[in-house]
Amino acid sequence: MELRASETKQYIKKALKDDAVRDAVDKATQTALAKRAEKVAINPFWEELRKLGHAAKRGVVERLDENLARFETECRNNGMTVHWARDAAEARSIVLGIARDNNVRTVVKSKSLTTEEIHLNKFLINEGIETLETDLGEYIVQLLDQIPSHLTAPALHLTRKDVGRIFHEKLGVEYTEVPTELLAIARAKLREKFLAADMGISGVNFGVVDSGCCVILENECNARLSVGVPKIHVAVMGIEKLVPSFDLLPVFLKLLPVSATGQKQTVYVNIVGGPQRSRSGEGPEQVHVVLLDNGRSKILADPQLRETLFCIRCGACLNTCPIYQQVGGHAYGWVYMGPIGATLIPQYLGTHEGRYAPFTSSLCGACRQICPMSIDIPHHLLKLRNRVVEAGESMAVERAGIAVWAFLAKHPLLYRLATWFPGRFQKLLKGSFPAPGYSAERALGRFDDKGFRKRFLELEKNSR
Amino acid sequence: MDARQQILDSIRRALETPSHLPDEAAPETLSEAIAIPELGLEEKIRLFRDEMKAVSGEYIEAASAAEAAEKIAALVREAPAAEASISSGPLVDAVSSALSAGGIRLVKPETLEGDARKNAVAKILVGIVEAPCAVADTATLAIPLDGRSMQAYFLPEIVIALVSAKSLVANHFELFKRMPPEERKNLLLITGPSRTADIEKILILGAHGPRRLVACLMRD
Ligand code: SF4
Repeated sequence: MELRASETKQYIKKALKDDAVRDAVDKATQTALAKRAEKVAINPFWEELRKLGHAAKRGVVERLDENLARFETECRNNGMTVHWARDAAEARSIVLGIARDNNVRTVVKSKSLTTEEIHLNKFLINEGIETLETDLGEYIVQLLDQIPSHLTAPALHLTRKDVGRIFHEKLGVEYTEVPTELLAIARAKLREKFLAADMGISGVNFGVVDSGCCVILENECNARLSVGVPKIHVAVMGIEKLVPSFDLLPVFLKLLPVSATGQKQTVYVNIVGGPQRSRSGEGPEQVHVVLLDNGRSKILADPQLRETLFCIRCGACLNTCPIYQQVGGHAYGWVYMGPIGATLIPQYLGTHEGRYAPFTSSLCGACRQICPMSIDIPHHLLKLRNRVVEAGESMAVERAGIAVWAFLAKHPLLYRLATWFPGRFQKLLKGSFPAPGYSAERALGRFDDKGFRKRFLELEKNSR
Repeated sequence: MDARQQILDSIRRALETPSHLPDEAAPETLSEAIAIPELGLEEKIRLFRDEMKAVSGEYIEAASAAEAAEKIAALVREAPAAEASISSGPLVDAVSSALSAGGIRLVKPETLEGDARKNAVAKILVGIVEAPCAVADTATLAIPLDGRSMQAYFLPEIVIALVSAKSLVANHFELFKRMPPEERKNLLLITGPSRTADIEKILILGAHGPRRLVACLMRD
């Protein structure tokens, strides 16, 4: 199922009518928020860690060229092969090339948003290479031919009944909705695949610049199995994923799990710094790192918006966002969703395709408050709204409304008449004015009888 | 122009505009946030034990190799199993003869090659391994990929991990500081048994890896 960011309005309408999805999303986000809050409360240094994380990321991003070059050198010294991909197509063909060179027929993948971004799965499958997602949530959404609906919890929009049905239909197993049984089914199916796979593909949470290694966090052990069993490992990494050193890595190892799932530490932290097979007789004999730009260097060009590259994809801003809580991840129409997705969509996809995304926010500021990297998402959303408007991509009604207002604002008499009228006319109504589209879900506020002008004059008089 | 050059060039061009991000003061208590606390041995052990339980791991203690072997043998029998895969290392070596003498067949992955190795280890219910170092603050086992076979650490359903009390470090900052740079680069950190909460956020232990993780702390 191909989603499009330009269809966001339709998706939102659909999502708002789907009570099951809303319930599932609500439950999941509230659970995650509560667990996170618990862990933040017992860490007296949380705010300091956030500052430190932000400063470290800033240091890396503001000298990204040097840092990437250093990272590349260190990776090569460690025996890894480094590839550079300008865009999604180039990244896909690099991965395919590696697979072809090594006669790869089966691939196990651990969860990676970057590979979702470049649609790697479908591509490899179309090329005749069996490619399986192995994170339970990703496995479920892959069976459904969907994309993840959350950065860290891909199947958050589905209930156990849904999963039971999907497994029954797609895997031919007997229907069950008992979570442990569902997991056992997936585990058995995937264990076989792990042991037989020719190649493992993962994303990268952090690339350690001074040591040339990739850090991959996970809970299920599927990344460990992808990186520790097949002969070839490919790690696909966005060029912004660097952290400076092992001295500061623990800052990120603390910030990410707490923000994502309320865990003090994820179960597995895989640090991959080169091939292992010649030393231990197992694991990869080749480790490839694919450095992906795909629009990131363009984002870097904006002196403010470059902060969106500090994101460590924890998903906390999604959980806390009143919009995400209502509509879920698919409504955004792209692999990055929620508040951070709303900033990334127009930046990656352009102001035409992504014209609605920056408006999927109430600008309440909760995302900024919760973000472990203190990214000023509301500020960036405003800037991107501006961009959409300047590009002439805002909605026609909105443009017309603003034009009318601008005209009136320049003609005080007409303005007074126009503002006097609704207050009076409203008295004839029981509730507030019906606003097309808006009033379907909630009521418009009532106009004040006096209006701003009168109040202001009164205030002025009284203060004299 | 090749991809590398083009990407680096476009980054350089982008960075010609300096950031408009607000200036950041260096966090004042930073030194504390990343400090390595001075903890006594007993305190580290207590932390490690409590954290291990908090992450649904299990914890046992032994004052000697003989006691550890006895407790581990009991766990293997309870599993129920008659065999176990083992990792290399001095702690495992210290208990292995007693375990064998107790009738538990031990499989050393290193004695098998390629496919035979992974297929054999995957069939064995229990793994007995050791962590050269562990983090008290999070109950994290740290295992450098130093040429040892790693399969007994993650393929079995039940993993029993020997940890020497002396090897406990306070937190991750200390862990990375102490570890030789070459060892840090290829490292597995394990905190509790594998898990998923992908179905309705319900926590289930034993996703694709171990369902049980028992840490056996050696005070010796
Ligand atoms: S923007 Fe911040 S809160 Fe949102 S996913 Fe990224 S790091 Fe997490």
